[in-house]
Amino acid sequence: MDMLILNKHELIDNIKSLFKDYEIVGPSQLDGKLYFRPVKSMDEVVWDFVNPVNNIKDFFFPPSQVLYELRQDRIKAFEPDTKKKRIILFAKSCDTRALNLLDKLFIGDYKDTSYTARRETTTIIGLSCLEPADRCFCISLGGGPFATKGMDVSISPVRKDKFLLHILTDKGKDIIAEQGTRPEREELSLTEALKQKAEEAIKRKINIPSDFFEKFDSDYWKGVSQACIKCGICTYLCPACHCFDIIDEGYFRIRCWDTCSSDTFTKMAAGEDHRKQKYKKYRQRIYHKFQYYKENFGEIACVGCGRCTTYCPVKMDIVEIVNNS
Amino acid sequence: MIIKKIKTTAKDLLTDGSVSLIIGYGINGPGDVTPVFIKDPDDVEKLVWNDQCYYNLIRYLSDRDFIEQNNGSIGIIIKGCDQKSLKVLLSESQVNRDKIKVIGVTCKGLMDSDGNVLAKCEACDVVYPDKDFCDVIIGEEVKKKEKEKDFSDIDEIDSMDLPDRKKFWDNFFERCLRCYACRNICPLCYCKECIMDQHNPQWVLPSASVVGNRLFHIVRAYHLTGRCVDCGECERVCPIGMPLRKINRKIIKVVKERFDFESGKDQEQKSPLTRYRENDSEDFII
Repeated sequence: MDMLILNKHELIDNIKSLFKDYEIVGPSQLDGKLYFRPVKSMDEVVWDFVNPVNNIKDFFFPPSQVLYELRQDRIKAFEPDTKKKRIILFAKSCDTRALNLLDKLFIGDYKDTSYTARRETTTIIGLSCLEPADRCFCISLGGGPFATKGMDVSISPVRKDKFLLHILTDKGKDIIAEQGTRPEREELSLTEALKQKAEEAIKRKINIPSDFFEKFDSDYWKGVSQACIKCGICTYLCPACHCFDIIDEGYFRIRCWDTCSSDTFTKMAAGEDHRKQKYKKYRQRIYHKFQYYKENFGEIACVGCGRCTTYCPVKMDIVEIVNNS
Repeated sequence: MIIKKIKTTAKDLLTDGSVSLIIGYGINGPGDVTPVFIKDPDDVEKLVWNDQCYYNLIRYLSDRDFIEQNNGSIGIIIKGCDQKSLKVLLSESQVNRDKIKVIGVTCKGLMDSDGNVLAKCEACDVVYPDKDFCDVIIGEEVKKKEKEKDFSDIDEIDSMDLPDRKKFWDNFFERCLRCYACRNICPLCYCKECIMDQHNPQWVLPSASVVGNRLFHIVRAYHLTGRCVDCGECERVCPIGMPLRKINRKIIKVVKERFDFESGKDQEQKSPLTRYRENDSEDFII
C-alpha cells in the first residue's frame, strides 16, 4: 500500500486531528515508569523509548473484565465499550506481532466476542525500534526492530524529524490524511541503513535445541527453576501469554489473567494439584511457548521483547534457559 | 578480597560435607546478578559479590518446597539486612538453625542501575552482620551505626488529608496487577496457603481491581506488622513501582511507638502481635 514522507509536525497534526473521534493510547510516563495508557494530548506521548512496562495486549485482553452480572431474576451480559474507536500509538513490532499470535487463539475456532470487538475497533500505529534494549531477541524469533506485522500504519524514522509512513491496511488508510510526499530512493535507503543498524544492535539469540521436546523429563528443569519465586510477572507482562481464570466476585462473573506459575493455577476442586512442584510450573511456561503453541497454532508464542528477563524479581533469563536446555 | 574469601569458604563447606548446598549470588546470561544454588565444590567459581546483590536469599529458607527438596544442611550468603529476616524466621520457629550455615558478608550498600545508593541502604544500621550470629563473617568489621530512625517520609503521607491519601494510594492500586511478586519475594510471607489464594470462602476479591487491590495490600501490611524488617525486596520487584516500603515503614513506626519493638533485632523476642502481656497497652482499643 501507500508510503508517505512526513515531517514530525505534520505527523503530530495528523494524530492530533484524531483525538476527537478516537481514544488514543500511547507510551506515556507515570510515576517514573513508561506505560501504554490513554493520553489526552500528544505532549504526553514519549517518542524515544524501549519497551514500556505493560504491552498492548492489555487493551484487547484486559487484566480483569466483567463477563456478566447474575441476579436472582436476571442476567446482564457485559460487552466491551467499543462505541469510541481506539488508536494505539507507537506500538513496537514485538507487541504487534504478539497480537497476531493471540488472534490465532481468540479469533480461531472459537471466536472470543470481546477480544474480536476490541480488535476490530482498534487501529495500531507502529513505531520502528531504533535502539533496541540489550535484553531484546526478536530477530531470532522471526521478528525485527523494523518489522511491521500486526500494524495498520508503521512509522520509521528517515532522519531527524522526518518519518516514513507505511500504510498497511484500510484501517490505517482511514486515519492518515493524504499529505506529504512520496519517498525518494535516498530516503528509503536512509531508513534501510537505520534498520540495519538496529538489527545489528540485537545481539541476543534464542536457539531452541533440536531435542527440546525430549528434554521434558530431564532434571534440567529442576535446576533452572530453583530461583523462581512463583510470581506472575513474567506471564502478566508477556505480550503473548494469555491464560485466564473465570471467577465470581459477588454478583459478577469475571475473567481475569491467571499465571501458570501460581500455586492455584492447576489446583482442582478437591485440592489435588497435578503440577504442584515449582519446576513443573516453570517447565509448563517454557513448553507452552516453545512447543505446544507451535503444535497447536504453527508459531512459537514468544516474540523476544525481553520483558520477562527485565522484570523477573530474581532475573531468570529465558534465552539462557531455553538455549541450554 | 571479599569474593575470594566467599569462594574459598563455600568450597570448604561443600568439600568437608558440612553443607550440601550453597545459596549465593551469581551472574545470568545478560550479566545480571541472580541467585545461584551450588552443590558441586567446583562450581563455586560462579559466585560473585558486588553492589548489585539485591536479593534477600533468606526467602528460600522459608520456602517449604525448597527445603523439602534440599533437606541437607544449607550454607547461605547474607548481608546485614538479610540477617534481620532470618532472625524473625528463627523467632517464629520456621528455620532449623542447626541445619544452616550462615555466611555473613559486610555490605557497603547496594546501587541501582543508575549508580545511586538504594534508599534502604542509606538508612542501614547493620553494615556488618552480627559476629555471634553468623557462622562465618567475611569482610572488614565496621562499627555499628547507631542511627535514629527517620520516618519523615511517612509523616509526609500521614499529614495528607484522607482524600489526598486515598488518591495517592489508589493511583498505585489502580495499576497493581496482582502478580503477587511482593508477596512471593518476601521471606516472611510463608503461609502454606495464602488467604489471597483461598476461594471458598473468598476473603479478598481475587481480580485486579482497585477494591480488591486495596484490601490485598492492607491485609499484607497487617500480616507483616511487628515482623517486617524493611529489607525492601517487595518494593524492588514491583513492576509498577508501588512504594511498598512506605506501607512497611508505617507499620514499623507504629510498632516502635506502641510497643517499643523492632523486629529482626533479637531472635529470642517474639513479635508484639504474637504474644500477650498483662501490662500491654490498651489505650487504642475502643
